[in-house]
Amino acid sequence: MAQLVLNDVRKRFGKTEVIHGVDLEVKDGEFVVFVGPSGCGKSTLLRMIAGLEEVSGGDVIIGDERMNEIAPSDRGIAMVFQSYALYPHKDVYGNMAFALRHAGEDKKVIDERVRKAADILGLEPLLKRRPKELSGGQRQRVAIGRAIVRDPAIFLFDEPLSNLDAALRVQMRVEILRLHQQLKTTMVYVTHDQVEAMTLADRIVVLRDGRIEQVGTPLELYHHPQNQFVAGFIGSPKMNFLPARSEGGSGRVTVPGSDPIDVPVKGSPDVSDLTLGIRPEHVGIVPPDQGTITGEVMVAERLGGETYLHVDLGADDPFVVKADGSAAQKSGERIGLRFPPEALHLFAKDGAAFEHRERHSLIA
Amino acid sequence: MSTVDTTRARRGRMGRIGTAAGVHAVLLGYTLIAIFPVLIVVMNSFKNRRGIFTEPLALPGPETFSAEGYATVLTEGNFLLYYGNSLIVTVVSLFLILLLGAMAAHALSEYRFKLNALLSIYMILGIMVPIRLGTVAILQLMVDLNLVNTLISLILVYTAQGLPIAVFILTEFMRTLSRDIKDCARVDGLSEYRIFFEVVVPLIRPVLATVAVFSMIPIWNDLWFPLILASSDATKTVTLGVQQFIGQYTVNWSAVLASLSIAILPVLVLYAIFSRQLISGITAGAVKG
Ligand SMILES: Nc1ncnc2c1ncn2[C@@H]1O[C@H](COP(=O)(O)OP(=O)(O)O)[C@@H](O)[C@H]1O
Ligand SMILES: [Mg+2]
Repeated sequence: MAQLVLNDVRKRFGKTEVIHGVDLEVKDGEFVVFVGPSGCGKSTLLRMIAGLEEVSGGDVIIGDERMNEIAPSDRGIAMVFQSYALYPHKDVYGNMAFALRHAGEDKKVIDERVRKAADILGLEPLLKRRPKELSGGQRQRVAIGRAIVRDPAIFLFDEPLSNLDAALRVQMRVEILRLHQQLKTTMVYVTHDQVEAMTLADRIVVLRDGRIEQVGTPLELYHHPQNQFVAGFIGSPKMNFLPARSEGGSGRVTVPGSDPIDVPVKGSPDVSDLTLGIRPEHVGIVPPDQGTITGEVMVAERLGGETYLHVDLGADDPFVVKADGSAAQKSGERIGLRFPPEALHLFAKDGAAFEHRERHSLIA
Repeated sequence: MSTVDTTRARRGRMGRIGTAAGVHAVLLGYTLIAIFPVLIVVMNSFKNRRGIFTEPLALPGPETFSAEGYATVLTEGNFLLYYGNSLIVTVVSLFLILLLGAMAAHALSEYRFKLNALLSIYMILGIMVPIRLGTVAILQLMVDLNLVNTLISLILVYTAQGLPIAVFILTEFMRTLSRDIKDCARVDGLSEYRIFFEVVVPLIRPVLATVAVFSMIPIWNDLWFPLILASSDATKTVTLGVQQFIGQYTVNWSAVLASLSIAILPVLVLYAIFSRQLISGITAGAVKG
């Protein structure tokens, strides 16, 4: 059953349209993440679902009801904001109880629900504190607790972890994941961080300039990006792109300075300006005389467990290869590179990806 | 090498202390200059007439001490009535300025509507054009409305006088408030009025106090409008009432100084109340902190 449906949803601020017709179905209990670069309209889309932003065109449907003109508090949603947005003059308990008190809920029911939410998030010892007496992580937990108390049909999160430091972010990410497993409520989560998207989402929605670029599971997006933007956005370090020429179709291409490379794609692109893509972690390192292509190592970034080699292949951007932590290659050294065919991606001039002949084994 | 470094560091530290001392000296000097007349007024209000004129700068001594000024003020004339009038006018005008100003600022900063920019400019014009320029028109209006010699006329004028700058300052401040917290209240189901009173007002308390302090002084001290709009005996304010001790031929200086001393009191009390609010940090922790 679809819990949330967006039907050709559009948003205009004055004369400028920032959301250009978004279609999406979110299933009951699903964890969907909107991801995209800053300014692509993620927050605007989420705020339209919440009812905080007027819908300029299309329908927002929650449950079976069209919600375009319904007030935020009547949509069965709860929202967690990036800046926490706690009421500074109320203590933690007061913050969590506020919406229910306002709705005229029974005192005992309120108390029960606040304590249950506090229990889930480990907030009991903090119930009497004011927001300013809490750390960033605790504040965000209170903000989430406030959402839980309302028992919504859909949770909306707008970059809830962006204000936290890196270590806390990882910890809260796990907590949110655990929360979803426990509550099994539909969640829509906005972030610009593709790692957060990959780790949290059942399905990811990649947005760019107010349009959906692709919707799919994290592994679908990783292994079968539908265009060059998604391919470059998902994965870290990002995918390498090389200018490629078709050699008589059937997916055979060359890049400057390389032997012919066979990309296992459907169809037979026979045009000159193509782009070949491969992720740093899929490139193999071989002696120079055995490589599909050779290049000089410019920089070796040693992270301990892994090493990023920046290789000069004559293109503008350096080509990044992820090697083992104990890889011996030094800067100035010439190395050969091998491209496993199944890890290659081929993009047309407009950025659209050519479909692979076979799906990745982990994807049904 | 290291000696050079420490000398430089010491010189830097000395320099900083020197700058701080300079700043404090200037501030202290300014404070003295500002307090001096007040001190003279209060001091002399406790002296008899001879004491005031022979040694105006001396503290009241056993020979010169006298509370006759206070006695005159509290027994003769309607000083307490004037005092009450001043308080009513000031407090009610302040209340209206803060309430209407904050609500207008909320609307201007929070909602997108067609005349928004135009209204903001209109308010700024109100800051630049002194309200006294409109005295004749205001008097005519008050006559037509039958409000001459009522406190209401003063309250209306002072509210109009204080609103533009209050709206301007509050609007600028409210633009900096986190949008999230208001949106959160909307999701929680609060009406726009309750968002204003329960979420926005607590967040802007320090700024409201600031606006209150500097709106209050000109109202309390004003002589112009009470003289023109409400000079009847029942509606005189303190500043106007003091004039009864200034006769054409003799001036009862003890009484004048005593009434001025008493008149300072409410301003001090109101200031004390508001300045407690000025201690900010109230919003700390509301958003990222
Ligand atoms: N209130 C507004 N008025 C005008 N333009 C806006 C407003 N809010 C957002 N925008 C524009 O809409 C676009 C999307 O913004 P937003 O949804 O906040 O992006 P994201 O959350 O993905 O960073 C941006 O180009 C932004 O400038
Ligand atoms: Mg955003």
